[in-house]
Amino acid sequence: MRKALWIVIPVLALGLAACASGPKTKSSSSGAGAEQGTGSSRYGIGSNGVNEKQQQQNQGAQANANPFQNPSSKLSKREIYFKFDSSDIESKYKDILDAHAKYLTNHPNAHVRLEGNTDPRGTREYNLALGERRAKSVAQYLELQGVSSDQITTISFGEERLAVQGNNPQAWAKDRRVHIVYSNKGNNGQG
Amino acid sequence: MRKVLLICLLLVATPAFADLQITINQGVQGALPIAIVPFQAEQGANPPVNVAKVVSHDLADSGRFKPLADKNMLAQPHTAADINYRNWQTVNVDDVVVGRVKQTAAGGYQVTFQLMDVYRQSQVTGYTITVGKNGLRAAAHRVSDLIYEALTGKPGAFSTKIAYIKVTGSLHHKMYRLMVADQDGHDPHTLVRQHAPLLSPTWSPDGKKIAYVSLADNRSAIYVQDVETGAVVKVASKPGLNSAPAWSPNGHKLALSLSMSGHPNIYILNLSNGDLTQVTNSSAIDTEPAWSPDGKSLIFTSDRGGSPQIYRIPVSGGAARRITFNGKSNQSAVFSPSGNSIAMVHQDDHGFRIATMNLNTGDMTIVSKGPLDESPSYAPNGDMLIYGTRNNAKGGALAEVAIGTNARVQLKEKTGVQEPSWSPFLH
Repeated sequence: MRKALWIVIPVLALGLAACASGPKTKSSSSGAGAEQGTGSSRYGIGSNGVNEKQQQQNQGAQANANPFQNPSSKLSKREIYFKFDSSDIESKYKDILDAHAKYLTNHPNAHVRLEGNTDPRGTREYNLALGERRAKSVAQYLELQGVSSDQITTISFGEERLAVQGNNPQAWAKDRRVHIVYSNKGNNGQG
Repeated sequence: MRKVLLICLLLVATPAFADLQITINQGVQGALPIAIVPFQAEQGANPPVNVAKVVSHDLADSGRFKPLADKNMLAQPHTAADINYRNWQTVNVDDVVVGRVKQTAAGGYQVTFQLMDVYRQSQVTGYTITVGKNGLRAAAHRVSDLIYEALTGKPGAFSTKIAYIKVTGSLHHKMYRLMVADQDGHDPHTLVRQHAPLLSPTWSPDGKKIAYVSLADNRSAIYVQDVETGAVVKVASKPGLNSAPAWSPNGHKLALSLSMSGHPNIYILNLSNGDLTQVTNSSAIDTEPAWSPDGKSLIFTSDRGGSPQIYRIPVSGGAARRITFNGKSNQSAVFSPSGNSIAMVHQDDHGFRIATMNLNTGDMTIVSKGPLDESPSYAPNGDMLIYGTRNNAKGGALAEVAIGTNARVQLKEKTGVQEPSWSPFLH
């Protein structure tokens, strides 16, 4: 998982000065904490005189304070799963999305990229479109909860970013997802 | 009848990975028994390519020929005059090919072959082909083309190429490459290399460019790259999806799927002036357009009826007509070069398999085994289909099937390869 979000890191590492009003480690929150190393080196926390390594050690202690990495916080849940060939949001995910919507409405500088994914069945191009449909479905839900559309970007990876290896229904269920990635607004400005 | 063909070829081979290898894993019925006798190396030439072997593989892969193994040959003549036809009638061969390879003063090669009818004991065809130092493989494929045409009446597609996507690395840290190789998998070259996904490579009708989809920079965009020079142009990067490029038969336009209207619809992009024309206007997923050979209609995949199926629409727009009705879904349709059939990915209880459908009768024929096959692409003579197959955990492989026979060929590679596209005839 560590390297999976490498592409995400440069985006997240920028502009952390806006951290002031929120949890300090919020921009490293995209997924399974893979970017600890790079993300933490840019924190304003460094100005305390704490060096990078110590910062990483401290992060463990700060985990509870950071909802994005606290497993008991809904904000740490950043995968929304879907049924086969469907882009409907199941009711069991609405609490999670409500939590993200609330965070986003309270932090107008925060931005999410919604990455739509599918399982590998069917053709790649159709799955590219289905992944986008899923991402847009989540975007629409967030917007209905009051999130501004310029806090949201959608993209589809179709079946190109499978979550797990395996050609069976259990693996496929884990592939069909929208992955939520946080960054600061303005650093993710692709259309 | 002898003709002299001059083919001067410069082939720069920089293979980074092992070649695709061919394994024929399906028996062939009704294939023509033929013997390709090992060619003689004349005057101390030490050819780096075994011409007869390349020709044998080409003809066997087509599904229409059954080459005799060298060990079963009772003799190995090199000219028509040396042939004792009884030797070949005994082993039930209809035709025998004899030939020789000579080195030229310029350091190139001259390949001469004669195709002889064993029962008539007369020459069917014969040529001398001259190539440069690195052109021997190309000369062998040309020999295959000439034999194929002489015996089937259709042009051979052995001098063509394939493009495909190669994926390496681990599940969460992949490297994507757009590759071009000879149609038999030999001599692969990397055209594009990146971490972000590459999809849907497709050759321009003049064989000079490849269009493809890239998901770099967290967005989708369509690029067109010159195969020889590597020059790249980004041709579509609208908000939303930019996907499924398909060249018009004259190469002036690309049909594509764009979702900037809110839903993926089919558009036509004029490559010379950038004009964009919307063809479909539905709230469904409309994608994977393909042009009829006469350039007048498009087929595409749409789930407007619930499941993905194939629809047909005039290029000028209008009403879309559904044309597939069997199975759970049908996707990724492409026209055969003649325009009489389409190939597609057909889903039923057996999974996703490649099927062809006769457009006149509506008859559908399943041509692959599944369960996760994709990306059918016709050879330019319409006699073969290449497609992607995923039936092991190691990643995808490419397979070919001969239309009208049962022959299936698997092109093996060590790591994942997918999304093949067969080039047009190359000049």
